[in-house]
Amino acid sequence: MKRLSALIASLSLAAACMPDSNLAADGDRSDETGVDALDPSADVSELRIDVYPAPDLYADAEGAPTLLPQTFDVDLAGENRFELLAPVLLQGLVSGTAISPWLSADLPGSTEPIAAAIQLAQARGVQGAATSTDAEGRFGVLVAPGRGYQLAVVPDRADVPLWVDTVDVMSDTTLPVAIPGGSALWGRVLTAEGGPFAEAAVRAVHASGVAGPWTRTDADGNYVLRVAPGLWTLQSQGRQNGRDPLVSIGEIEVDTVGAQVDLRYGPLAAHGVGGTVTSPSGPVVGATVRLTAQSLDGYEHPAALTVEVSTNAPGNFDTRVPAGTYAVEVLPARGVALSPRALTGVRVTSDTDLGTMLLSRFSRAQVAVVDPAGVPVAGASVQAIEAGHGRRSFTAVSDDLGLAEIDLPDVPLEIALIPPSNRPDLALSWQSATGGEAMPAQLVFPEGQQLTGRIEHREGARVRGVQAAVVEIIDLHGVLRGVAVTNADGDFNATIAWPPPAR
Amino acid sequence: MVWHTACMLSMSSACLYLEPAWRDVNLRPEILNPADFVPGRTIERKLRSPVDNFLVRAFDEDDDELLFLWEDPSSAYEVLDLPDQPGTPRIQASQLRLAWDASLDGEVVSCQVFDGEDTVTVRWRIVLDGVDADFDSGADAREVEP
Repeated sequence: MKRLSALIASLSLAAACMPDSNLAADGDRSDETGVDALDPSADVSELRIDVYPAPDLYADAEGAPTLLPQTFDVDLAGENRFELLAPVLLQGLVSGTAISPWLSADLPGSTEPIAAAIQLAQARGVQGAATSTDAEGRFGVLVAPGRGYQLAVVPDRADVPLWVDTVDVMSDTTLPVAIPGGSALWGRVLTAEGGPFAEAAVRAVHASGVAGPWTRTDADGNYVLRVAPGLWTLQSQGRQNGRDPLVSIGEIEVDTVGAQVDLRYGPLAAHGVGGTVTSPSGPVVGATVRLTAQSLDGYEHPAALTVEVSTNAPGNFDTRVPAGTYAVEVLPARGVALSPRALTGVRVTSDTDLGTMLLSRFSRAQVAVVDPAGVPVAGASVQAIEAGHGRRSFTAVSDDLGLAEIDLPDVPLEIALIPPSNRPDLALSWQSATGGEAMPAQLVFPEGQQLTGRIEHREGARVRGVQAAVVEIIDLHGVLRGVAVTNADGDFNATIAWPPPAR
Repeated sequence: MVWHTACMLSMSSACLYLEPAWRDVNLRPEILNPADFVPGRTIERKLRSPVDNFLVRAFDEDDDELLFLWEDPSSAYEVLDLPDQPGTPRIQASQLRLAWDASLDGEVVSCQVFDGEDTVTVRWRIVLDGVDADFDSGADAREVEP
């Protein structure tokens, strides 16, 4: 059967992955492949390796993982042999001081178990875990051993502060989390006219980015949250109608006596926005129309709002938003060969008819895929992803002449160029392009260099390779630079562009 | 064939035999991972935090080019494709990456593996601890200055 060249939401990435027989025991595989190994003197401190063991292969009889994803630094001076450590158990009991002055308990409150959500994450890499406590505040979670985890404890109730700390978890650990009562962050949410905004959802966001629980304002617009002293952002989401802006006040310094912050909304009166989405073959059904506020009229604090609506059978849409300036995107559904369309700077100060928006059909592009010497590359995968919009993905495979035919939307695209398995000298690369007439006629692979290594784990006294683990090489900017799957012995062999392409 | 059988039964000394035309039989892709894949069965999968990968590795006895068509419950995902592993037949693979999100509890992720003729579907149901968790930072809400 011939290679298929198709619009699909996936592709089989054919990068360099050598057969088992090509892997030398001493770790130097350059002779077998004819490809230079990375220069050990090169600065690769910016590269990390994320390893994802297959969960179906590494679980015990109860389904608990025996290996979890881990992150390592590239070590060219060594052999890049990495041992996945067995998960360890982090367990604990969350308690907190509920400030309840109306109780007969001693003021200012009582210590009691707290139901909360628990998250562990490292700033860099893929190690982490998430769970929640039971009603008694107990939790237990398996995590890859590591240092410097950010532990976030988000209470279910807003009268107990969000707790964020840094912990090392190198072995089974029991961690009592006693959350102090913290300080009050209180104030009023007001309407544009200065009246109380009742039933507005309010929360505090920690400087680390973790958000605390929501509370609601009372009939007079009052809210009160408990937070640890430090820097916070106050957010209000308004009513539960999905059409009120998210209003934020950042860099609120809360000390031990707390802080009072009032938050005022701008005008909430909504105006109708409607239109029709069509294509050369008729109305477009089921497209998403997304309105994102670029600015909202009458708001003194930063405010954000995104509203989405779908087109109906005649291709019509209709929604309501507050006055402001909006970006309007029309996003065809996945599998529909129509280009998205975007309008910016759309002013909405009254009911607004956007008229008929015509979505163009995809354009067929024929791209020559070549190596750095200009030689056509057969079997290369070209994966184009919409830059923004719906981030739809389209793929074609180059034929024996190195030509790839692909139907693409007429919008900016991120293109992943993925070499075939018989070209370990070529590296995965990312390029920017625009579909339609601006699509380049030729895509050139960068030269690559090999990064080899082995992923291992310990079974009793024995060290074994980890098979079928996905190995991703990520640069300092978080860009995927190479990917490989380990073989039955745990060996991997990825080719990456080196030196790195200019950004 | 009927004629040929009747001829044989009539004890005729010479029966013309026409060999049936040879038809290629397509062999369906065989799923290597997930290892606990059983056709038609939905696999329960606990989503790992902060991101998790759903991996499908397959080989096709005919060595057909396989297409991996993912369907997921969230728009916040990436399809990250994987190297072929050479061999006869080679192993082809694809994966979908999902960020941990409490709202994914109970949702289904599926991958159709298509060899140009037959399709094998792998299906997972996500199970989560901590379904009440709210870890979103609000950073994804695009703020604009007044």
